[in-house]
Amino acid sequence: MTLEWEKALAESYVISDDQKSITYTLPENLKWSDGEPLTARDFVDAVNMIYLDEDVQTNSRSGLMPGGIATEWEKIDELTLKVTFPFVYAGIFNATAVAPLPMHILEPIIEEEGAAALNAFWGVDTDVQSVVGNGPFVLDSYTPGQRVVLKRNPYYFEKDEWGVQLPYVDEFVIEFVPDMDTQLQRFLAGDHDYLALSGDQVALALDRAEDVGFTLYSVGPAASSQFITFNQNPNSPALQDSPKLEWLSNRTFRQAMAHLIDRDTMVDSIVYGYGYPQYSFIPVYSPYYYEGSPDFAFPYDPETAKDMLDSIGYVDQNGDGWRQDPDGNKISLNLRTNAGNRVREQMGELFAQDAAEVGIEIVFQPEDFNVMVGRLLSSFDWELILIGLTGSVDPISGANVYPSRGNLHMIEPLQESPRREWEARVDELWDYANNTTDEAQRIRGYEEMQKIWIEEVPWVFTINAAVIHGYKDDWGNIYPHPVADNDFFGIIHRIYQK
Amino acid sequence: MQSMRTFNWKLTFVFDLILWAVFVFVSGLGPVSGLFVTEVVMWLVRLIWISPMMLKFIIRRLIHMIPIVLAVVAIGFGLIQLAPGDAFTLMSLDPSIRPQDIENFRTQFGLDQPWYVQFVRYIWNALRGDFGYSLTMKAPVFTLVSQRAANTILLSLTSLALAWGLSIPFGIIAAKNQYNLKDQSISFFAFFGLAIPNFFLAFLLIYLISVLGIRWLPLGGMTSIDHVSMSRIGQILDIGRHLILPAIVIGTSQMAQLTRYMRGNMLEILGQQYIVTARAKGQTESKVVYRHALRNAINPMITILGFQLGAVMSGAALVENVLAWPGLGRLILQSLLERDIYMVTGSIIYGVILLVIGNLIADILLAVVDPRIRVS
Repeated sequence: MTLEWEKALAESYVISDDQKSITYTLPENLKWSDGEPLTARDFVDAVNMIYLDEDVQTNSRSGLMPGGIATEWEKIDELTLKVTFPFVYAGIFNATAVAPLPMHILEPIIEEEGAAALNAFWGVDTDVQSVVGNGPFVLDSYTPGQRVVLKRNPYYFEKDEWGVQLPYVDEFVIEFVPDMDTQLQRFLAGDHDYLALSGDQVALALDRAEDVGFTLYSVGPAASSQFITFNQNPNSPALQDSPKLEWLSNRTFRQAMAHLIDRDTMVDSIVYGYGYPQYSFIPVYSPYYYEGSPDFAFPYDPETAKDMLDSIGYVDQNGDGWRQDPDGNKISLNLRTNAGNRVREQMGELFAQDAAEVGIEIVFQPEDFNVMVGRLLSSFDWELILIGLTGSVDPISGANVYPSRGNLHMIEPLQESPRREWEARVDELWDYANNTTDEAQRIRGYEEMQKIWIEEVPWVFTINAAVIHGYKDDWGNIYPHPVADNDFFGIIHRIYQK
Repeated sequence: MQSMRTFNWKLTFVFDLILWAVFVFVSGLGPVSGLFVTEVVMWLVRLIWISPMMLKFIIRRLIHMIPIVLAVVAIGFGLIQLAPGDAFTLMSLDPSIRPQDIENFRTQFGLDQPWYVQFVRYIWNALRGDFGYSLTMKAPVFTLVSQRAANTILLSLTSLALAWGLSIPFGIIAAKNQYNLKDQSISFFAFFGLAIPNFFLAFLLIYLISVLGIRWLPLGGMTSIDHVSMSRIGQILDIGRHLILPAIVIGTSQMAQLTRYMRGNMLEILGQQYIVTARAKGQTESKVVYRHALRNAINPMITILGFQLGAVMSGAALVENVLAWPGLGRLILQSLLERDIYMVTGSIIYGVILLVIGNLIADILLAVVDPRIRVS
């Protein structure tokens, strides 16, 4: 299994000479689960009438609007559709990987009640038998708070290498068990065939693996990142008229802080060995990941951190064990994270301890998630925050994060023009890497961006938890993959009972 | 008036059948819930002849309920406004959602308005039978609540029955054998049940069952995977089997308290002069205890019953979460964490109504059980 883009429904595609448009051809006889034909209009009308309509609540809109400009979708004939981009865009597959919608059902609703009516359509109070899809399984029944039963879609488009209709399994059931400990006990009792485990559950589970008959798969690092970021926003009420802005804006200071991230201890004692050190904003399994990141990044080294702090004049002037800046202000910063996340709370404590060793006071304050998000996105009233973001194989989905204009460019979001020289360079590289379809150019662009990110430390990465999946041994064709962190998507249609 | 007095109210039972048929065949209610609604309505009607006093009392209490519900909704609305962020805050950290789309969602749900506008709007809609729309589950709150309510009522009633069924005899035994071994051991279990948190007891039992491999006792949930394909009786037994664990967990903590109350009441009554009189008359001990003492000792317990309905509901949330019981408590907990304001308010209304009705039932029971108490 690779992480290259794979054709799903399309039979073939052609990218135009100017690289700005892509034409997909669908195979004949594609069908929805109700037997109606699935054609080009189910893509084109879905995008034009639904996904791009501002009244519709959907997470898919942003991906269809690279640089904020909508892509143009047109239907050539029943089986051919053409998507045109406003500029040459690397995410041509990303942006066109949209789910088709059964327009033979939705179009009459839009005509009668408008697109906004779809926000309430097929909610959890629907008769699930009426929901139409095109995946390997369709809904069979839903019992609120208990379970969803899915049965095979007889019209699913994929057959295996021997011409056998997929999926192999007739039915599968997802049970809702809100508590993680109960989930584990039920898996250990043999009630369930699949469970995504966390590091602290693995040791407990392994003891019972043989009795119950299951295997644990270590799938690799999770795509999501965890990092400590340094507020450098001059508009922040926490930093205005405070020497803190100067400390946080000092690159050497941030690099010294980066030397205090003890990733090995975090992996060993916080996630019980089931984790990976993280150095770059791109997941290690992505083709755009810069292989040199671990060597290029600042290793855990408190001694070097001390020397660096000395070199910028942040020394302990009065012998109380804490360093002061040249003006005599004690260096003390707040670190926040969302309370209740055990891994983040322990990482924050460890960092605060390591910082105290070198004479920097980090006041660690876990707080309510929504309060923290409010500080990050609207009040900017924070100093250091330990937080995470979901990552993806192609970092192009981080357009709101890495360029300085992004609303999630946390150190100073939504800049009209980049304040810092390195930010100007990242902005340039972002367009260089993404407004092209030349893979080599993309890799070069992302390599330099990753180096700048490590060198300038707008944030410093910590560790990724390992993704661990447990499957009962009754099932074959288990090849879990790390992309969708906790899911069996991408393999479920090929799983069979031994 | 004359004709009314001569009217035999027992004739109204004919209407039960008609009303039930209307509910089942016209409004599409289930046969059991149809019967329930019919009986509640018809007995209220029959009260016109049986006890007009009681009817007045009930109607007055129901009218009192309106300001209570309004006040609780206002408090709930205010509190959730004080909590930072809203249902869409989590979305704003997702790099793939545009900030203007999130603002759009807020406008669509009226979350951009000041809280008093939201409140008045909500009340206005609620008066017209629209209890709001869940922000996270994309369905009407009323539908979501009614999907879960029956499960919670089932669990609450079972655990209450368990708690009452055990605590009253235990309380009597403890009082009759004050300070000897029986009393001490009952007190020990009562304090144990009071001291151990519900959710922890749930974990403990799950762990024990899993380690001991007791396969016929399910580890949470309300139905088995193959529930749909079972016979009617099989389904009832299946739910009963799943009820055991949560009912024990919630029942024991309730039982602990009730046993202590019952023991205290019983001891107080047994020390009264009329008990001495009864004994002096030469009545048998069982007659003294069960005829004279018990009926008086049980009155304060019935008052507690009303509050207990509410307490069981709130205490069930954590247990429902641990034991995956698909009840209302779990739904409220989840929507509270997700700041799903309309869902929370809808559930609160439901909880308040249940609490008020619980108290009403307790008062009626009290009047029925104790001839000294009259409604007025």
